[in-house]
Amino acid sequence: MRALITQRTLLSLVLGLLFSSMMAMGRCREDYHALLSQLQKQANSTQDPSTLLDPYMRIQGLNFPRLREHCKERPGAFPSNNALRGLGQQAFLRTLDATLSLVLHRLAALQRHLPEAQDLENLPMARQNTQDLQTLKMARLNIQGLRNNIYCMSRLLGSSQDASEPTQTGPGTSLPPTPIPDAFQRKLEGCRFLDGYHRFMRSVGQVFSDWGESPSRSRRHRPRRALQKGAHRTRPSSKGKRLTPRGQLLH
Amino acid sequence: MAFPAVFQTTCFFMLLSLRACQSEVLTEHLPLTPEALKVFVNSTQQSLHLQWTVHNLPYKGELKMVFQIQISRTETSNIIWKGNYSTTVKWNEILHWSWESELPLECATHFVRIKSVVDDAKVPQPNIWSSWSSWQEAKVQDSFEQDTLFIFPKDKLVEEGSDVTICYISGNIQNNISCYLDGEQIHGEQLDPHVSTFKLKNVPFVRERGTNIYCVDHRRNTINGGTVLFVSKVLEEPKNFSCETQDLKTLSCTWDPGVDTTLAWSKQRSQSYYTLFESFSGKKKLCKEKNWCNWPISQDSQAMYNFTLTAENYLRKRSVNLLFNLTDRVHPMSPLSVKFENISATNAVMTWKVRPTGDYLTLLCEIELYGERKMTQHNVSVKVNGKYLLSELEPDTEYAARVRCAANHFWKWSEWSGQNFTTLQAAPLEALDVWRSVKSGPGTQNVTFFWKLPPKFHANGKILHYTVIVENLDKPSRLEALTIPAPANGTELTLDQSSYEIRVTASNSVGTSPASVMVISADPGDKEVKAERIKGSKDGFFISWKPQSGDFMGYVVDWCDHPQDTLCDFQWKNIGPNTTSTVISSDAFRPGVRYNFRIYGLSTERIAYLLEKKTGYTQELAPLDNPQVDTINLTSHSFTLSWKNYSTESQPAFIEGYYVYLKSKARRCHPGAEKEVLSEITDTTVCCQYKINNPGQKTFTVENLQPESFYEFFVTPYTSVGEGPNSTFTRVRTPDEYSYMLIRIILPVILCIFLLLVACNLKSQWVKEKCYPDIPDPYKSSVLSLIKSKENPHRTIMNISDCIPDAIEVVNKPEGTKTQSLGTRKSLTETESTKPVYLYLLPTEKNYAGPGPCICFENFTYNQAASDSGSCGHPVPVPLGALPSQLGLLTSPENLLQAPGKNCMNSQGEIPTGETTLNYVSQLAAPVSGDKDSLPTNPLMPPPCSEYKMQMAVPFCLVSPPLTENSGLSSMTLLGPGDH
Repeated sequence: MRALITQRTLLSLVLGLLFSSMMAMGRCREDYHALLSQLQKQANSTQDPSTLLDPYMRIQGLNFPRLREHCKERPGAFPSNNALRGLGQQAFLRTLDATLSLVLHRLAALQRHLPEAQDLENLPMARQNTQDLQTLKMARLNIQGLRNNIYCMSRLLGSSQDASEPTQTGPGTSLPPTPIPDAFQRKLEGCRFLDGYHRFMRSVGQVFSDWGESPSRSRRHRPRRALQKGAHRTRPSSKGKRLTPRGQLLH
Repeated sequence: MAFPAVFQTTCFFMLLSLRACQSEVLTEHLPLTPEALKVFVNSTQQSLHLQWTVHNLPYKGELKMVFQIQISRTETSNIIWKGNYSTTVKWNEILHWSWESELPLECATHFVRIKSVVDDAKVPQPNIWSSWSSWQEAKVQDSFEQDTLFIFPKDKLVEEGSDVTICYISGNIQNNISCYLDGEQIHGEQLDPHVSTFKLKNVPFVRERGTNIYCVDHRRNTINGGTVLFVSKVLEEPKNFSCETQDLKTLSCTWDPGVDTTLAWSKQRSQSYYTLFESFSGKKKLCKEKNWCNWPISQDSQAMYNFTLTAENYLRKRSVNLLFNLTDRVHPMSPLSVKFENISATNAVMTWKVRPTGDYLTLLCEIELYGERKMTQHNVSVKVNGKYLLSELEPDTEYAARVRCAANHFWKWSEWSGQNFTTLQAAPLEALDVWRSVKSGPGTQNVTFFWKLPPKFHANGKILHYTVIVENLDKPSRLEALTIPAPANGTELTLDQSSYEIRVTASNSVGTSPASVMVISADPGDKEVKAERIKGSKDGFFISWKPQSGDFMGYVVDWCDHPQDTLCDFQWKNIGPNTTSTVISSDAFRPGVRYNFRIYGLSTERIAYLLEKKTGYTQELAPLDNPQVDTINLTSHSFTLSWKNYSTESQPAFIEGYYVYLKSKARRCHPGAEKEVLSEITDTTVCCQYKINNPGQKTFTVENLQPESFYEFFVTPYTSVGEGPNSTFTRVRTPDEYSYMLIRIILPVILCIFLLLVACNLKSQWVKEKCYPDIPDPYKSSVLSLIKSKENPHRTIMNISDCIPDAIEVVNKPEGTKTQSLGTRKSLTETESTKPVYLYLLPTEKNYAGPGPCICFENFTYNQAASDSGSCGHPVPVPLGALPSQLGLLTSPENLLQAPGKNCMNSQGEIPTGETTLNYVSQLAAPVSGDKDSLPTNPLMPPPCSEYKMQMAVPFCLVSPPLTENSGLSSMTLLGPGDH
């Protein structure tokens, strides 16, 4: 099991770094299907709790059955599956990007309070803790890579101006941590947030899957390059409104 | 007199009145009651902070007072703590005091009251306690909503091992609420229907993100409240706090912070930090790192420093002090530019520089010099540049030199700085260690001359070649010099039987070593020395020899490290003249290998004399193999075993003898043998053991054996550590006695017969003459000559053709007249009876009318095998003309009827009598003249049925096989004249 997780995380790390580097070089893949396939893979990999929620719970000491069963997504914290499927492609990408941005901030805040792996050598469970910390770091890189691909997909769909610029890989550049008096509640909220995040990414994966499977929808959102080659322009989606996660991001 | 008395009385009353006034004032203001008592709650520190004043202090100065404080929980009557607080109260001062609660203050309302008493020497006794202040309530929360539950304290930070009290307040009457510490349920004590407490003893550190404590409302299945207990490891006092400077500009202070408190990431606000405070300058510095800090040295020539290092976190503060003089803490940097100058074969000058320190302190520098064999140390004082002469070095040697420095007032050495250098070469210092091995041949001596490569410290450089000079001491001759390039370690010389002096020198690029001299004597005088056995050990061989009376300058022991190899790795060891023993050890010595040592005495003329020989093993081992045994001299009662090819010299131990194991069915051992049980892998074998005590005896005869019996044997050597391995028995069978006898008898007989046959063959003519002489030729008869000369000159020998053949009459008799038949003759009779025409009457002129039957006679002089192809097998007509010549042979009736002897032919008795009677009518008895003339008219014609065959003439005495039935059927062959 551990080997499986390690392989998966390594794969996602490689993919994340690959696309991050591509973005750093200012390049985007212009193959719609390849990009969509990549997004799908990234969404599928990030929906796995072992990539984020499980190490988080172990680090916070929440990995007990009684606590685990209360670690459920708060309704409304993330856009629902239906809401996501109702969005147009551009709106969907914007929503996804915004949500991932918040997740990144949350993870950055979390990592600021965590020790470096080498500081854990003399502590109990040092090996497990070190592994979990590395998994959390990789999760951030994966999200960075996913956001880069979202940016590229937005550009490919012809709305680069609307798409948010991809976040550059680097240490926490987000909001300063807000002191919360109750650390326990903060832990639980974080846990629920990440549970919602994995559910959200599962829905995202399904949406990407829909994109790949539905020819009509694909035609409707054909890449800009294809459109410029004489095809009719995409009709603006009536469901193009942008949703944002309503969950409170606690640090 | 009255005035003084009045004055005294007045004064007395004045004093009395003053004192009374004073007492009245104090009595009026005491006791002093605390006033304006206020209670503040600090939830984080879980403490009550009290603040009050004491009004109406009688003096504007200070007054020592004692305050008694009571604290109640939940209700005033439940006093949980009381204590005194002593302090000096100043006029109008607001007094403060804190009390830390075990129970989180949120979980219960607390009440505080206070009273006081003056405890000052200025106030006369007795002191009276004031009355209590009113109860002051300390309450954190007023009320709780329904269905809410709060756990306190929130995010409590404690040290590992401390005790903590946790509580929760529920908005409802407690029902179905369970609390857990991480995954385990904890059980507490109910303070009131809404409040429960949990006392956690000796809390451990679990994780840096804290231990989770939470309560679950089972009725609603929700986690209503929780808290995190952050457990910190105890902050330790910094260890090994030390400060030093390398450049007198900056002090570098280091320490060991000890165990990490883990607070650095769990509670940012309580991160432990370290501060340095220097008391002389009053300066303070917050250190960024947890184990080191730099302190700038001021330029005001401050010599003494008194540092206080303080480690502090939210829970604890620890500090250590360090006082020192700056110059005592100078740790110089490593020296620079280490170089070597004027390097010769034995000297070199080492130079280096030290990094400048503030006041150019004098430094003490230490030099370490590593040669090939040893390390030497040298000390030198240095200001700026260091210089040192390294002397007594060894030529052609690589040295490693390094230097480090310290302040004169030693604190610490600097790091090492080093460099390598090599001294120059010099001529080899000492003569070679030489030895020789001499093998004498006819008229020559083969001398193998060895020398040991000089040690590095004697070679003084790379040896390029060796020079061997051979000088004949017996007759003046030209010196013979051999130059042998390195790295040879010996040479072979073939010398005649003269005495020679051999000198060897080694040369390098600079010079030549002193010569090593050895004399090979024409008459070494080596006597036959028998090797003495010695016992070695893993440490080698202890070898001793008898002190020699001669004038010896020393002794030499030589041996081979690998005696079993062709190149035996010849070794020798020189021993002084006053020593008669030594220990020979070598890494090459192995157990089970025999080593031979020769001890020589070396005379002052440098001639070596063999004194003794030693041989031994470092460890004897049991023989690994058994001899190959041959069986010889096998008789019916003994056999001999031989293993002459077995070498006792190459065995892993001294062979002390042999065991011969003999196994037989009898299982009985002869005298001289012992019954022995041999254990083998599969079974045990009982056999007889013969012991041979002489290792040189390599044959053994086993006697007293049974003929025609199987015996099994094997032979194994034995040594002091055991015998050889068990091996398979070899089987041998003793022959029977008769065959032995037969061999002894038959062989001579056969030989005799053979000789006899040879003799007979050689004397065959003689035998022939004796046994079957030729038929005499009447023409050559001497009688004839006598007749001619004396009686009748006309007489002549009758020609056979002139004779008229006689008639033979065959008379048949009836079969019933047979009298008896004997043996094989009977068959003949029967044959004749069944073939009545077997004999045919010879025809006369009258009745001969052409081809007719012929007659056959058996000539018993010859033995011819039966042949069906002969003329007797069937009737063949005989021409009439052939008869005279054939019958001419029958002139001697003895030849026909009497020649066969008893042993060589059928007896006459065997001839069937009565069956057929052959009546012979001699032609001489009744000659017929008419016939006489007619015979020559019939030319002699070969009979068609008669044929002459080459026949082997056999003497009568050698015709041993009796005639068989077949032979009885053999045809009788008529031999013509001159045909035999």
